[in-house]
Amino acid sequence: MRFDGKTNKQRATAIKIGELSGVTVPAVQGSVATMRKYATPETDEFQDLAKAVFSEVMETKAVEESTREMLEPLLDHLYRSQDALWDANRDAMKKGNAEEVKQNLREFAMSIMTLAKAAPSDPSAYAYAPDKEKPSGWKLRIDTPAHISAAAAALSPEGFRGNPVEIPAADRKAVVARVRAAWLKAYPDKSEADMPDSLKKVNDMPENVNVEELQALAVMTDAQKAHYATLSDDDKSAFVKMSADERTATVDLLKTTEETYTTSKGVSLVKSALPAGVFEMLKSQDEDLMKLRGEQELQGFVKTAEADYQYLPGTALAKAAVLRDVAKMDKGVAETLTAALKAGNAAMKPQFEQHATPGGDGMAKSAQEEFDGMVKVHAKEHNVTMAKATEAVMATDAGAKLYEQL
Amino acid sequence: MPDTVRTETIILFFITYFLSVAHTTAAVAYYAHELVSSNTMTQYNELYVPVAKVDTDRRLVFGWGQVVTKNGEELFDSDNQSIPKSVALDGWLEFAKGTRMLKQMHAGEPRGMVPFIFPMFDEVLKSLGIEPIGQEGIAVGAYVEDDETLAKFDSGDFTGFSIGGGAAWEDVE
Repeated sequence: MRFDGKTNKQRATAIKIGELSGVTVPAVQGSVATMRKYATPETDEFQDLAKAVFSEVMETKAVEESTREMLEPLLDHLYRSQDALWDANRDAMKKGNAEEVKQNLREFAMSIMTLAKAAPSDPSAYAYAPDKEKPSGWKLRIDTPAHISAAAAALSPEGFRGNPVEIPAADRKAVVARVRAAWLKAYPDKSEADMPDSLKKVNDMPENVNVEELQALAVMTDAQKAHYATLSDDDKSAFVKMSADERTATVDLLKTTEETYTTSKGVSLVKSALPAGVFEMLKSQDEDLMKLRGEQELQGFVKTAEADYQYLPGTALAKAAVLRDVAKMDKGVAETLTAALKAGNAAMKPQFEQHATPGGDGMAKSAQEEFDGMVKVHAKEHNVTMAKATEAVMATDAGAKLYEQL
Repeated sequence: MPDTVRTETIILFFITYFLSVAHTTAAVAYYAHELVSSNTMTQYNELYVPVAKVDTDRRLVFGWGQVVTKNGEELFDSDNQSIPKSVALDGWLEFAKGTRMLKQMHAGEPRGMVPFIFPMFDEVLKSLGIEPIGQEGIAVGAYVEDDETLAKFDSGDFTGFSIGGGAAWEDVE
């Protein structure tokens, strides 16, 4: 019976004969030559068989020599693991959980196999082996399905357990092709559609795609990407070759040395982080906006100046500018200054009212207006010039008093 | 017994043996060697062919160690598997250069060795002036050192030879 459970025709490509045995009549008696797989032996017989196999191997000195180097880690692993294995299986057997026992054994066997194959000396077991004489430079084992899957993960931007493999861009395509081939061989029942993305992408990728650039962009921050977009081709290439830490340091350094602008809304703009021309445009727009808002704000203060501070000296616009500045001051200071200005305005008010003379329409007139009126009336009544009329009015008592007030 | 169960039984046995029965160094040496040196040769196969002659005086047993063709056609076994002549020749060459070990029922201590090994291929026979016999394979002559084993061959209890080892297989189109 075949261990793989299949019945399709197969042909041996290699055989290794360990021993020749005398045997009793086989089940397929009558066949001149019939290959059969041995039936499940009785426990003792099977045990004897295994012992015999081990004895045979130990008699072969070449085997001893070829395995000596790997004995030490294997023995360490066995001694370290056996107690834990027995404990686990004892518990599982108490529970009557045969499946758990099997699973423990499988995992233990796999750990031995993994350890035994931990470091193949054949560079073909690796997808990347630039120098056949230097195993330390070999990367991405592809000798087992588990290693192939790990290699595919390492080729993805996320990496294997967070660690993407570092392969020179020039070699990457060939490396991925080797992993692809190994994957397809390891999983003959699966199609390319089932392949990990890291292996698919290269297959669909145009010839001129810069994989190194794509990988670098995949891990760049937005600020780094914005900075990258402003660089020349040569500078881009240098930026891509930097490590992640170097890119971060570069962009941070630029932030401290380059032109920045904070908008009226408090948004900080970094010139190098924006496409060309955008920084200037945003800055200009914000400045125009600020100016417009300032003008609108000033108009409000002009109205306040005209209404509340009309007796203070200066134009309404000048007083509005002062009021705007006062409004920006600390609240306590602003309130004190405002109170002072209002007090000053109130103090000035009587000075204007003191010289006012109620007119015919009931409105008060100033001394100047009254004096001028007297001059005009005199000039008209006596048909003289305004100068002679002024002299004449000043000669009168009333005119003299008004003139003193001017 | 299902194959999966058998495989698990084998694993269980090997681990049991590793940890409790055998000297650990020996077990690991074998296991490690098998894992590293023969990735695809993990199946343990046997080939049964009948004994042709027993010479108890010289403690020799002659027979076919393996048959690869019958009436000019490649021989597939009941599992639909075959071993081509060239593959068989390479395998037997290595065996001849090595231990040439003889056992009984693929178990226990060595019971002798195989001093005579010859490829009974048509082209070889013709080169020696011998007419092909309608069957090709490997002829062997085993020297049985162990009395019990020799007695079993002599009595007819053991009626054939069977090779134990491993093979790598490829699907036939």
